[in-house]
This record gives sequence, structure tokens and C-alpha cells, in this order.
Amino acid sequence: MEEYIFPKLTSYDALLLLKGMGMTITVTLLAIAIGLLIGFFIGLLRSLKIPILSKLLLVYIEPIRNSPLVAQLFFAYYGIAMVTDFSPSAFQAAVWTLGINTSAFAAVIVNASIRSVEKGQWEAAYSLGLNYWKTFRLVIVPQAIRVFIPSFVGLCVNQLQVSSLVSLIGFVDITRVGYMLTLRTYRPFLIWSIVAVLYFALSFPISKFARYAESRVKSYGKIG
Amino acid sequence: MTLHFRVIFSNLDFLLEGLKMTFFISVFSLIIGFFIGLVVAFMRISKNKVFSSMAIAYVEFFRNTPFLVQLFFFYFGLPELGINTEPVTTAIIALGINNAAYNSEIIRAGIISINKGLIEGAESLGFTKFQIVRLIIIPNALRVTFKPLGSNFINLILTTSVAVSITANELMSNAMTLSSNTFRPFEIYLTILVLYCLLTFSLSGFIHFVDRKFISKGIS
Repeated sequence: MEEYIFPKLTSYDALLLLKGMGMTITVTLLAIAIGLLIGFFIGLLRSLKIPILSKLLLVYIEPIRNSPLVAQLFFAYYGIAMVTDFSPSAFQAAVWTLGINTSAFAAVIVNASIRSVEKGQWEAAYSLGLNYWKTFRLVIVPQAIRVFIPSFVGLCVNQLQVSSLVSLIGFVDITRVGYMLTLRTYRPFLIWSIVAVLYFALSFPISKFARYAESRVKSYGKIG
Repeated sequence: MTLHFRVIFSNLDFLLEGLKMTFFISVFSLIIGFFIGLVVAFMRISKNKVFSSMAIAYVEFFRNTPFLVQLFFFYFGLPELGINTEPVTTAIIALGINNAAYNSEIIRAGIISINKGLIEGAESLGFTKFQIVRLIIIPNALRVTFKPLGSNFINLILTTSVAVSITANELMSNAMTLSSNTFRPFEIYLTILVLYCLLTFSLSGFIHFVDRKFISKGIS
């Protein structure tokens, strides 16, 4: 009986992996941009503590934070196309779902960062004759950003990891490439190790930076 | 646009079966995740360089790679080494190992937060080792770790949905099966989203309640 020889990994496969990595980075960056934009406005509105509006915004934030991204993706990709005329491509569904998911987490971080600046700062700025926007821009943001950056970078690392889930709706990111190569070459152990290492190479420097930023924030409070 | 939520009610049993499996997977991986997390946390703070760097490598690796890739590695990769895998067991083990990395950081912070003076004071009052652990270390560490561990557990429940990729017959997998059988993804996934929300909202309410009533009692 002839022995079956498993196909070897070729240089073309390496190219495919790199392409997938590029798609992962693209989706993650776009999602983070969308998430930051929406999240900033929602977080800002929440920090104003307007009674009913605050509660309404929680209706946006909490369900997104408390349901699995896989279900959100399937809902956006398969569900919405079934009942409306709009049928998003895998790329659109991936970017927008991940972006809106990011926005809910970003809103919480923005709100917490703004609130971390003590009330006295607002009062002092108002008594010096600054209006809301000037106070916000010149007094609050420079202080709030110290709290914001470490948590936000941490969120970015997390969203990079969960961006792998977009492969489940058929979007060809690095995880999907790994899946396709597994089917072709039948060397899952090797391929999933490579994919894991590639993700690690992307994610580890960013999470190291988050840790560094956090230590800087802590030491700043002690000296200043 | 007409919605047919009948699909949900006529297949409620099937979805509830999935919910049961989600519970099953969550609870077992919670237990595995807690104990591995405990071991890793103690390795991390040990003075032995080999142990502590092993713990750091463990935590960094599992926190910087996606859970989906880890799951595929366990599910598709291990059979190549001659270890047979089955979806539910694989999901439980992968989730447990993944969650342990997050738990260990929380537990470590809990251990570090205990004031050395408290232990010395207890020793000078003649407490036995067992009494110190039971009366000083555990209650104090629990106060710091209970809520973060709780939110980790909620995260774990949400992450069980990733097991849809290896069809572990949990809630998300059953929803997907149902959706491809009935062709009503909108109604089904909407229901699933609501179900997960109800599950996590009630659980986080319960965690807050336990924390207020029993754990942070008398602490302002």
C-alpha cells in the first residue's frame, strides 16, 4: 500500500499567514477607531450625570458588555441579513460588530477616567471663569488621560484577541488562514502553534506597554 | 419583515439543554481554573526563580493569545500527539487553563495585599498556623479577590460560547444548529443574546449580594 504523504508547508502558506495577520490588524484597528469614537461620546455624556439619559446609555452599554461577542457577530452577520434588505459582507459585519462591542467598553473607561478627576478641579476652573469646554479641554483631559491610557491599551489587547472570533463568520483573518492550512496540510499542531506565536508577537509588546503606562501613572501620583 | 418567535418556543427544550451544558462547562472550568490559578499564583510569588518565571510565562502566553486559537490547538493539535479529544472535555480543559491565567493575577494581588503585621500579630498572640490561615489570611484575601474572581467567572460564561467552533452542544452551538435547521437566525440569536444577558446580570447581582452580605461585611 502506498503511504500517504502529508503536504508540506510552502512559502505561499507563509505569505497567506502574513496576509491573514494584516487582515487581523486591519479589523482590530478599524474596530478600535469606531469604538473610541462612539465610546468617547457615550462616556462623555455619561459623565454629565443627566438623570434619564445616563440610564438610557446604560441600556446601550450593559447588554453589549454582558453578551458574548460570538452571538453578537452571528446576529449581525446572519440575523440582520435575514430580516432586512441590508446584508453586510463578512468584513463589514466583523468591523462594525467589533467596533460597537469596543465602544461599550471604551465608554466605561472614558466615563471612569473623567470621574477620576476630583470635583474640586471643576469648581476651581469654573471660579476662574472657564466655561465647560475650556475646563474639560485644559483641566480635565490632561489629568483624565493618565487614567485612560493604561485601561484603554489593555482594552486594545483584549480586542485584538477577540478579533479572532470574526473567523467564525468566515472572514479570512489569521485564525481563518490557520484553519484553512490545517485542512490542507493536516498538521494542526504545528500550524496552531505558529498562529499562537504570531498573535503573541502582536499582543505581548502592547500589553507590556499597558503595564508600563500603569506603573507610570501610579508613580506620578506619588511624586506629584 | 415578519418575526416568528414561535421557533423559540417550539424548540425551547433544545435551547435549555444547551443552557444546561453551558452551566456544566462553566462550573467545571471554574473549578479547574481556580485551582490552577491558585498554584500559578503561589509559583509566581515564590522566591524560586525557576517557578516564578514559569508562572510568568504561563500567564503571559495565555493572556496574549486568543482563546479560539488555544481551543483549536487543544482540539485539533493534541490528537496529532496521540491524545484523543472530545468537544466538551476539550472546552472545559481549555477554558480552565485559560481562566487560570487571569485568576492567578487576582489571587496573587490578594495574597500580596495581606498586611504582614496582621500575621505577626496573630503569631505573637499564639495562633496556630491553621488558625492564621483560617482566620486571617483567607478572610482578608477573599475581601480583595472575591469580586474580581466573580467578574472573571462571568467572563468565563460568556467565553463558553466560543466552544461553538468545536460544537460542544452548549447554548451557542445549539442556537447555531437550530438556526440552520429553521432558517430564523434573527429571532434565535436575538433570544440567545437576551438569555446570556439575563444569565450574567443575575449572576453579577448575586455576586454583589454575597459580597455585601458576607464578605465585605462591616467594611466601609
